Amino acid sequence: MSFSLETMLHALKVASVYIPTTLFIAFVSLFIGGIFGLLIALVRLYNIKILSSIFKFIITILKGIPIVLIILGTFLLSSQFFNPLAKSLGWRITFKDVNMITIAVLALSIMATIQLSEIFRGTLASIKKGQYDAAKSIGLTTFQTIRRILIPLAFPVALPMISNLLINLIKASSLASMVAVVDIFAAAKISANQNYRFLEAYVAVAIIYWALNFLIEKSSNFLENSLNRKLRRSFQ
Amino acid sequence: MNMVEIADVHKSFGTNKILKGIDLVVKKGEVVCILGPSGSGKTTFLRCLNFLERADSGQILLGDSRVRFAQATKKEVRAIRLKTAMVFQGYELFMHKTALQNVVEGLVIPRKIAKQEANEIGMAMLGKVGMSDKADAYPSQLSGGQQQRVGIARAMALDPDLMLFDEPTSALDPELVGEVLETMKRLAFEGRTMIVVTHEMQFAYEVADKVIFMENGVVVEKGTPDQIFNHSKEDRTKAFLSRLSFDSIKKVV
Ligand SMILES: Nc1ncnc2c1ncn2[C@@H]1O[C@H](COP(=O)(O)OP(=O)(O)OP(=O)(O)O)[C@@H](O)[C@H]1O
Ligand SMILES: [Mg+2]
Repeated sequence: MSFSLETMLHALKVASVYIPTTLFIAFVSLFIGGIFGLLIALVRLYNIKILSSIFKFIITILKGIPIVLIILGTFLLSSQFFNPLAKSLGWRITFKDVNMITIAVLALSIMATIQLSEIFRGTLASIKKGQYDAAKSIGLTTFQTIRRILIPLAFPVALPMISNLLINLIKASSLASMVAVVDIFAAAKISANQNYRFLEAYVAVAIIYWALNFLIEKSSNFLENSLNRKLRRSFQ
Repeated sequence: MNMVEIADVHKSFGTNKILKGIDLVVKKGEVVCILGPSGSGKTTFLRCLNFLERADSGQILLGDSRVRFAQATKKEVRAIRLKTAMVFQGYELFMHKTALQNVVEGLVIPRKIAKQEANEIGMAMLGKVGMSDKADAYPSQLSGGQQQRVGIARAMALDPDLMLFDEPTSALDPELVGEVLETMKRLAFEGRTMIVVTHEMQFAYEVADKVIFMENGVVVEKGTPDQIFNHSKEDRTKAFLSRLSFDSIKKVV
């Protein structure tokens, strides 16, 4: 089996066009997951009745499911239930009109929410009790404490895990090609289908993913270093 | 004039009775030192006054707020918190904020004081504790003594009716204790109303208007420093003080 550099470069070119799609899916999912993950982590941190145990239950269940199944499940469920739901709400669109990117974002948001809720729970729990006491004693309300003290303290510690998750989301977005989103991976495969040169296509895909991850890791390290210098000693 | 009247504070953790009816009256400008062995409930008592712990019963009159601990509403808790300030054994500065930001946080957010005015107050307070040149330093760049002085500035900035100190020097290396005690002495002479839990007997002897000896969640004895240190009536107080070999310190005073 020969390796054609030219074919590989061609695949690289075709697939690169879809870098924005992949990044879009990953970043939007990360953002959505960040909001819900933080909310869930806070509910569990402050041990809010009922909600706290409901979230704990859901997270425990979803954590054990492979992302492939979450993507397929999201696709299956939304294809089953979207039309009746849209009809009952009086929308004039059907499942066929739904952009598959939306489905991919939905599925990866679920993955991101689960993981981020665990990441935030861990980092919030590691903040010294004294920081809460100090916040209360100067008169900050719970909400002000969360916004002014807890999140700024937790974020730099969570950052390496968040960037790790972003990398995983980018990789997982390639699984979304199963539900027909054209992303980097799918584009390279399509290009390979024309000439049956799969090896070149896969190498091209690997190079792109590797380059993206390299960039993310570097920028996260940079951000982490600048945030962490002042944070020494604030954790147990 | 009584600044603070605290009556009958009870607090249990589970079935463990920690405070068994503490009464305390503090006049404006007075310094009260609380002494007592480890586990006697001194920290718990201070934390109840700041509502960091919720006492099971008892009440506090502070300025014009009279609040029953067990029934206190959110608003009442806030009112008391805004009139008190706490200096912690472990300093507990916000690690992601500079010295100055630590001091102004309680002014800008809860008390809604304009940023510029707050910064001026903050710098003045840092000046008082001799930390002006470290205004932009983060806690991790400061020594324990410096951190604690910022902690005191943070509490002072709130202009509280009552300042609470929980063993402010006991986490410090011996050579750093002096600078913090000096700072507290100046506050006392300025006329701040203070309750200080401490093991620094000489400080209590020199600075306190009233000394309280606590053990097992009750006040065993209270009086002037002279009454407690030199003419104690209670055997338990005497035993505690003798263990600290206070006599050697007293001669120096
Ligand atoms: N949050 C808590 N939950 C359960 N028990 C507690 C809690 N806080 C304090 N205690 C218990 O209450 C008792 C009194 O503690 P406290 O910290 O008030 O003592 P202290 O007089 O300040 O002692 P020290 O001189 O060692 O600081 C101790 O036996 C402690 O174990
Ligand atoms: Mg204590």
